[in-house]
Amino acid sequence: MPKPKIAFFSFTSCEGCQLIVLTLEEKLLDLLEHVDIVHFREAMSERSEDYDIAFVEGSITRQSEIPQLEEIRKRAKILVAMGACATTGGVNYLKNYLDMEQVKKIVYKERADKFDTIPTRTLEEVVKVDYRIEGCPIDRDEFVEVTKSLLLGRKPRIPTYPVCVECKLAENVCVFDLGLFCLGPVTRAGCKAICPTYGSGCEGCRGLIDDPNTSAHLNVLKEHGMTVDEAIGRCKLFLGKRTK
Amino acid sequence: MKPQILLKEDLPLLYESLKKKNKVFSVMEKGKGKCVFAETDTFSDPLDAYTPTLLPPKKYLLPQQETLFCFRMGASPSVEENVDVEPQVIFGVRPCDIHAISLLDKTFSLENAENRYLDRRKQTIIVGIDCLHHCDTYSFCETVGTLDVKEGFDILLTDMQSVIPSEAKESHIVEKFFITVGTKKGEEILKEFGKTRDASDAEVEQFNKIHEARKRAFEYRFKTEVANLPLVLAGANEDVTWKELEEICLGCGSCNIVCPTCYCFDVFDNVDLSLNGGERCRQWDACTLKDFAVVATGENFRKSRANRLRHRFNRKFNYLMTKYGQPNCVGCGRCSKVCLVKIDTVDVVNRLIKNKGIGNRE
Repeated sequence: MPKPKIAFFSFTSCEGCQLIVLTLEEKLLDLLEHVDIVHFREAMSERSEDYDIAFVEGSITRQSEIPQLEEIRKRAKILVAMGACATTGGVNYLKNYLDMEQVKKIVYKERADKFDTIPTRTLEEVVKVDYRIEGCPIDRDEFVEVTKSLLLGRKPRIPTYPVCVECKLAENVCVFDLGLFCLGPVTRAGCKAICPTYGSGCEGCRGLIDDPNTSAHLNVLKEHGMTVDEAIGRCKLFLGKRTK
Repeated sequence: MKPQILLKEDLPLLYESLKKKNKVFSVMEKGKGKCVFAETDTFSDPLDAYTPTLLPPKKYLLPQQETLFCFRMGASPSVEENVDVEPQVIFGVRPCDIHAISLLDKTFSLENAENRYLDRRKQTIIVGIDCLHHCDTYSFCETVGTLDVKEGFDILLTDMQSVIPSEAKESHIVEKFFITVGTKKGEEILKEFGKTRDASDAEVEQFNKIHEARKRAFEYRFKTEVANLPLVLAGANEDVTWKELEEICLGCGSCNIVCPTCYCFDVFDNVDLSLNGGERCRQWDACTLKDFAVVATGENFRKSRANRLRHRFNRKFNYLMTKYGQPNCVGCGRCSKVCLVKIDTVDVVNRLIKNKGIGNRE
């Protein structure tokens, strides 16, 4: 059986998730036993339009990106959305709270009319996405888990439970006890609770779990001294349109 | 072996002597007054850590995640069991957690004996430390009968000073621990250590007095006798309490994760990058999490948070209690303490008792 061909693409993003893939130094050679990477702008100059699996980073924020993504979808047998920008809209979604003309003026000033911009969309809002790797940035082990699972033809093992589980396992002092804001109780785990472990509350970069009790969590935030507006403001950073 | 007396100043020496042949895990502060069990280089005084540790010492008997066996596929498939048991001491275990370990012993030895757990347990020395005052508002050990501990430890240290302040003030009194020896292994440890002496009759009497006196500091908190709980739970499936909890429960699994008696686990294969072999692992699971009761067809038997919580309470005070004759809860209060929405175990049980109209205790 020929090796599956893998391609990496990026839309509006910092390309940090692809960088995470490149940090898999000790595992990359083993992975390359099973796949051919045919397109990876951040790592090689060769390009190809013939691929089986597309890992796509970034969100869609310009009209011209839509046909490009549709083309990738057409060519790829499997499309994996990679990182918060692709899955929730991530930080890019912040502009959706403003008028697009206003956004252009803030960013491009007097040259605003030379640029096109549309409200941020996740990949799923444009094409069918087969798998998601959440996070800002993605977790390198989860990238390997998804890739292995695709090669084995089985469902990747991605947590459906919230960050609290991993945080308790890490025996962290709850960041609410430290007076910090945290979205851990409603955010999908898989990051090994890295932010609370290093003394910062969860910002929700891996998106909400499937059945979050957001109203109960809002009460928790209120009890810890946060107003509804503050809480929503903090949620806007990563939760995209699921901020309510 | 007769009860022993150890001078407090010699406790670090006992710790060092145990370290010669074993890995020793002891309590250390993690911040904000919260403690954890960890492998400590130097002696840390277990008396400094009074409230329950963030995670119970269960983690040394049933690790959060462990490899059961390694496997290779292909022309000549193979399976190799993964054994990583070594002698260990858990130093400074409180009575509630000792009871919890005894419950785990039952779970993993009755019916289907689980050798991985039992092998580890055999290699584990438990140095207990008695509680003389109520540790915090969430615990209810006296209510579920776990304040007194008669077995499950190798040696148990009781601080002979802290509850008799009038005597403690007298400067001629030497600070000391009363040691109850629980097992043959405990006896051997002390013999080898050689720095303890038999307790005098007066000291035994003093110990008994301390034990009797301390109970006043612990209150009974359920509104009915513990023995009635299976009945309370069995008739409470439709209780309005669960509907109310559905609104506030986050379904975050924290109560399960910090519980010293929860033992449910998930098993999965971690295939390595050869794609031709890997490890079969098991990992703590939690019955309050959404996917706990999902089966292969995708059906979820406990979709709502309230159903999952109800299941958890039934496990603690009905199903396993009926099986073992005691609650499968040791009253450490960790679950109530970590709950961000303040679901308090004692409070929930008392609401069920009240709604059933069988409350007979104040």
